Amino acid sequence: MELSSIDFADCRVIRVEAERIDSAVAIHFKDQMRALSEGLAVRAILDLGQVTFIDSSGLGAIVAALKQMPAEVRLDLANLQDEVARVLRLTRMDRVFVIHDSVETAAHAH
Amino acid sequence: MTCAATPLAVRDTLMAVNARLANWQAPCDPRVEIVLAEALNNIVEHAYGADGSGEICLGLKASETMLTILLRDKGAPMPGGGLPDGAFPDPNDLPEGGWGWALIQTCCDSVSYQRCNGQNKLTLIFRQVES
Repeated sequence: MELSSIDFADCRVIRVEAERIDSAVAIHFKDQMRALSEGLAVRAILDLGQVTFIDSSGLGAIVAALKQMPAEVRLDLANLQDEVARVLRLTRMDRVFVIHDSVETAAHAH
Repeated sequence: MTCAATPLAVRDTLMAVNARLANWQAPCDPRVEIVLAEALNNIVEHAYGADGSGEICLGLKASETMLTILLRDKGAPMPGGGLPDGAFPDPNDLPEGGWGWALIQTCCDSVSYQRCNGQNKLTLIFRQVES
């Protein structure tokens, strides 16, 4: 699984280029997120638009990515498909993240 | 249907089950994939452990009103001999796991566990609520 990133003036958009964040890729995802967030001074927005499925390992890896962000730097989520949103809602982890409908609204929100 | 006890085999099995259920024209129930993923991951990680050599047998039975999934494995028994309590961890603690059984018990209409003849048997039942 791959992540791509695009930098804007006040945020970095990190896009998951895969349909699943599951136990097969959770550690790899976490390592790539660390590489892309190290030393980051602006907010990161994780674009999950291509992701159709996450399991609890995938969710754990996203939480781990949040915890390894530099101090005072946020990790927001954007573009959640229904099943991904459902897992976040059921686990109540939707309270932990700022969740945006789209990358466009995320980039304009503060 | 069988599944090797590795994360990649779990992924392939979930996709194969999705395809089979679509073929049966069983009513699409989005809860099935997450429940089955968590149940299989638990067997891979906890019943068998890291060496990836175990095997999981899956049985699927669908009717118009109900889907039953039976999982059997020869790994270690469930600690305590029964189903764990399915409490969700506190989101404020920023947990990195511990949701598996809570998701299974929340998304399934019935879950039961039996240990017999050196096998774990987990039965997951989904009742169709929409036509």
